[in-house]
Amino acid sequence: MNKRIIIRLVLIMVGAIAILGTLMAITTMPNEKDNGFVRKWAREEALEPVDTFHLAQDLSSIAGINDNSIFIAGASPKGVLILNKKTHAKEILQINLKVASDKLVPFYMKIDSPNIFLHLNNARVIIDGKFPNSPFRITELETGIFIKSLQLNDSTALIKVPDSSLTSQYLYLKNINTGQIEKITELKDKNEKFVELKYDGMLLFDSINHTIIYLEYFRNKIFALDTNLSLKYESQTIDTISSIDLNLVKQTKNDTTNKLTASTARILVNNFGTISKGQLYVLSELRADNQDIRDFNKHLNIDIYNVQNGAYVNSITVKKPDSFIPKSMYIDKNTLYIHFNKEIRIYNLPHTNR
Amino acid sequence: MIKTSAWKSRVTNLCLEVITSALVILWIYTSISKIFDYDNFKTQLGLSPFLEGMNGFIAVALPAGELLLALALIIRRTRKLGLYLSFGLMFLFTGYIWIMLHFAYDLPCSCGGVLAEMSWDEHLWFNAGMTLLAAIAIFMIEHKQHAASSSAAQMRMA
Repeated sequence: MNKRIIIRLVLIMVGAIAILGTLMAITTMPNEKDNGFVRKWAREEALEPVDTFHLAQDLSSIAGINDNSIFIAGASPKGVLILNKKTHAKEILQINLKVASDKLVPFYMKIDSPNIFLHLNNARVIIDGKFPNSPFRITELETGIFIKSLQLNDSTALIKVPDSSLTSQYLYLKNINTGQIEKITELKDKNEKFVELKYDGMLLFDSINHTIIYLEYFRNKIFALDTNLSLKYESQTIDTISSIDLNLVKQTKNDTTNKLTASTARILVNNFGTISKGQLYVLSELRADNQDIRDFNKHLNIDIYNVQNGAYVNSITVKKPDSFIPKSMYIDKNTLYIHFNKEIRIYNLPHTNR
Repeated sequence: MIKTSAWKSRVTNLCLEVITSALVILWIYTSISKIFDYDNFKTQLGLSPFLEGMNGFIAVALPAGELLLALALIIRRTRKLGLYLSFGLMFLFTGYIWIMLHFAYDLPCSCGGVLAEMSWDEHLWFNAGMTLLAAIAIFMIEHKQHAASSSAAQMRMA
């Protein structure tokens, strides 16, 4: 009788696998077809890690790096893991925040030791101070809930806020010392068209060229703005995803909270970006035509652009450890730090990119 | 010998009831969560690269199917069928999570209630565990029914 039961269970499993196989077969996956661009390699071989730090828990992102330490924001902004670069010793910095737990995430954290800047999107506040012991200053924002933010320097924060109709987006420059909003501007392209909210992107800052970069996640768009929020240039990443069929739907939760969410699967074009020495490093999710798909799947590809004009320089690649998911990327003094869910891997950048 | 057999039968019955109850609670809870959070559930399904375009149908059919499954498990006559279907659906969900984790380029969450708090990895293990429990329950119910029909046949012969 056991044999009969096993046969039935196996038949059920085969049926389920057939359904899943059909779903996979009829789904067009990104990078299956050529994307219509090629990469120019700074060096043919993938970069090898020169050091690795194992992480016991899933952390949020690298918040800062100095000569001795790597600062990694926890899943909640209440904790920061400090890794000693030389000894690999770990220390946890606890941040005493009196903020409701549902308002803690999402957040942005920047640590320029000993200064710490914390932006809480849902609480609409900027918190700054010096660790470990100085009291924190809280700056409340007059804006609504914000989507992205960036600390440009010790006094100025850049905030990206949706408009009330949740279609377009505004940039605010907030001086946290005076409490004044220094500038508000709509995010527009070179044709003066609104960059709609669905074209979400990351904010980056090049302190050498005093340039703010708005790098889109789902299109190949780069917008460069000066520190007065005027558009310097509009450029594009080397891939060819210039338009997306991305729909957003507004959802109301408990009749009070409006939530804007995508209604179709999104193909990520640019996953992470970081700026170092006037160069923009973009972790791309798209395969170039001169890359084999299997090879592509085993590596992370980082494309490098000149911040001054948005021109493509070349690309580097690093091996992607199995089942590791990249969480953030940081460059400090010619050293690339990639934060995966289980490790931080450190790479020396090739000379050509320095 | 008879005592041991009776004790074994009682333990089997108890385990079967516990597993079936767990599955009933799971199906009712997840289906109701999906119904109450229908808009979000439908949107999240649409975010799955594998279910795009089918989200409207699945958002209705899945909670309805889960409720019917719970009903099938509650009614004694259809319990065995309910267990086989539970096994199949849980196996399908487990496989779906596995392909999402390995192949999907966008990872939404389309579950309901407290299960939405689980990570995809935790969900995979939870579903795999429930699939295994359903398989165990199938063996138990089949053996129980076989034993019952054998003893009924013996009694008829006697």
